Amino acid sequence: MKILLIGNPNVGKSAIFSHLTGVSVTTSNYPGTTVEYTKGYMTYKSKKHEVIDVPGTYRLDPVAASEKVAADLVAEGDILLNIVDATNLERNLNLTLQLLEYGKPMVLILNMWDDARHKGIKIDLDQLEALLKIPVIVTNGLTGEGLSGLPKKAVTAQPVTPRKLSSAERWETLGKIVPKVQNLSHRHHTFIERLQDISIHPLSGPPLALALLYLAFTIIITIGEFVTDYTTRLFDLIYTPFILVISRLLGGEGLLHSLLLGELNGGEIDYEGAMGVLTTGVFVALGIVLPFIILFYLVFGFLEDLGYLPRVAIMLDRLLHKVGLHGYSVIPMLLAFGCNVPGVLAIRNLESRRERFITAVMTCTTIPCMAQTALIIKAVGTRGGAYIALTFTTLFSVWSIMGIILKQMVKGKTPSLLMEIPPYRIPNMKTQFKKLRMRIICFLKEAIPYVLGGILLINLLHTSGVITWIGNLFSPIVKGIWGLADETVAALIIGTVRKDAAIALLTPINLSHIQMVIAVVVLTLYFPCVATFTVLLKELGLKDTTKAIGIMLVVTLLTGGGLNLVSRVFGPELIIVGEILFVLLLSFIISLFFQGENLKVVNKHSL
Amino acid sequence: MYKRRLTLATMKNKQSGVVVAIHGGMGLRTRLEAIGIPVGSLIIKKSSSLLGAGPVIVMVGNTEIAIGHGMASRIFVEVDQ
Repeated sequence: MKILLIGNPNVGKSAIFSHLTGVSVTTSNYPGTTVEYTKGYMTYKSKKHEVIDVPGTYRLDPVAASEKVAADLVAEGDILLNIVDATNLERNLNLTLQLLEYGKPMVLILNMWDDARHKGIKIDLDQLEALLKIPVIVTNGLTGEGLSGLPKKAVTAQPVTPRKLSSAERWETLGKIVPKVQNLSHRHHTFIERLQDISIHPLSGPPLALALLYLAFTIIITIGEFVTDYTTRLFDLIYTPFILVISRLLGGEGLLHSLLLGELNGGEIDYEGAMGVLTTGVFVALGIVLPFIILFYLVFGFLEDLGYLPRVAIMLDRLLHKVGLHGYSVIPMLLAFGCNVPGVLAIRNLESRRERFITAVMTCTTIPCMAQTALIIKAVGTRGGAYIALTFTTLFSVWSIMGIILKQMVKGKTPSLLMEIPPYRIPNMKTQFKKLRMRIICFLKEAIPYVLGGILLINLLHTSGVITWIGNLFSPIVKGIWGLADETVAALIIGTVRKDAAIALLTPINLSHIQMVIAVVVLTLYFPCVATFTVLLKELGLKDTTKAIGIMLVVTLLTGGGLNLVSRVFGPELIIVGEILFVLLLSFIISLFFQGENLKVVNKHSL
Repeated sequence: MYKRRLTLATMKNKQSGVVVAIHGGMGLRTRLEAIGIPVGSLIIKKSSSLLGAGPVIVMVGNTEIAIGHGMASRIFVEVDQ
């Protein structure tokens, strides 16, 4: 039997799915968290049933790619479990009426029952059951309360008599049903509701967002630097003796010794520069990147479950229209700061090909993932905080300029933003912990093989002399245009596998401060890592991926060249130039908000 | 009572009214209907950006919905005066 969990976006399908099947899936508080369906199994009376977590949808005549998945799945399902946000009955039941048309066995699950009660909403369950002629249960998906009886109800549900309704008839039916079953009582504004209003109010919202952004960055960078200093000592204390034992077993020298352990420096191992698979490889993944990943997802997970992301989307809607997108594109981009892969997957929630293409290209080109950022903080940060600032300013400038050009280049229309704003929910500790654990496991499984493999590959290329050959081949670009040392080519090769390992490779190369910034910027822009490339290919197709890569290469060539040129002209004053540019850019963006071109459009329509 | 027809974009904050017309193709109407704003629904405007063409935030039933400015100026609402 195929059991489908289906409902509007952000009603808690994934949380219920986790409870039923024990399979961990990402849950959060914004519409569109699940873009691909997840399968799991539920056992009832020693019979195994397939359970599918369907991406949320408002309708069964789809527009966005994630909605299409839902429509296709419903046709195949045997039992439909329709999950409904109890605080929002009228809109949610519209989908219910559409589902009833399939005539399949169905159970209605009123989720967020607690929320509804707090909001003063009373629902007459018996009446609702009688009117819809399907069993109804109430739950709290986050805690799992009320779910124990669900498997029985699901398996014993009977097929319903299908009723075909037109869209107008559906609203009419709802207009009759909802007042009969729902009783609203008035209540005063709660603290959380006030907070909701403050965080998107045009006056208080943006300063709050900036403050939060600053706070998040400070937390991640300060604690991250503190912890990674500590991990260095921890590695010296615990890991070095172990490495020295292996070194002795390998005879202290030879090809295998240098591949696996690299330069041991007589026991005083410099983990960032040793370049062995087991030394630098393991240290970069566990000693530097992992602490930053944990910190990032602690902060991000909280904001995600609170429901802050859609509010950022609203505040940046205008800015994103300037680059041919609308506010929702912020969500894939924010996810990409953790890892580009979920970022690219989230573009499925966007409706037009144009938006999907622009968002994907801008994300993969300019947004460094947390693993990469961790290494940027480590490698560039040692040369002064101003250089980190210069790196990110450059990336942001590229983002803006690229967007403005892409908006002109990519044909098609960008629809207006239309998005439900979920209420704030205080993140549940248990859910937070589960999600963090899932993300860490995912990182360990994805990253470690690539980081270790990448360093092994580069060591092999070094010893075989291939690197020197490739270095000479690309010298006109690397040295000529970007003004970097030929050895940087090794990092560029590894960058196509893993960006964090690539930046680690830069550390032993003798680069000036500015060269370091150029190298890091080039590494961010030129090509996605292999994991991102794979999903990009899947989401955009071969033709658009080829275009995207072409754009990335051109952008890299120009940006690297531009930075090099500016640094040649201004020398060490580049930092000041960078800061001036930053101020100019900022004022440009602010001016975009104030300009009145769209007002004309408003007047035209309001006649 | 005197009624006035405004778009969501030109309505004042905290004004309420009934959606009477949506100027746009079938696509726009179905999109709005699906998210819970069919013609005939009661709508309250909560806020809009101060700086021109930002999204408009409305309350429909218990849900807050953000509507891009372009779309908001195609939704006509009969407002109680």
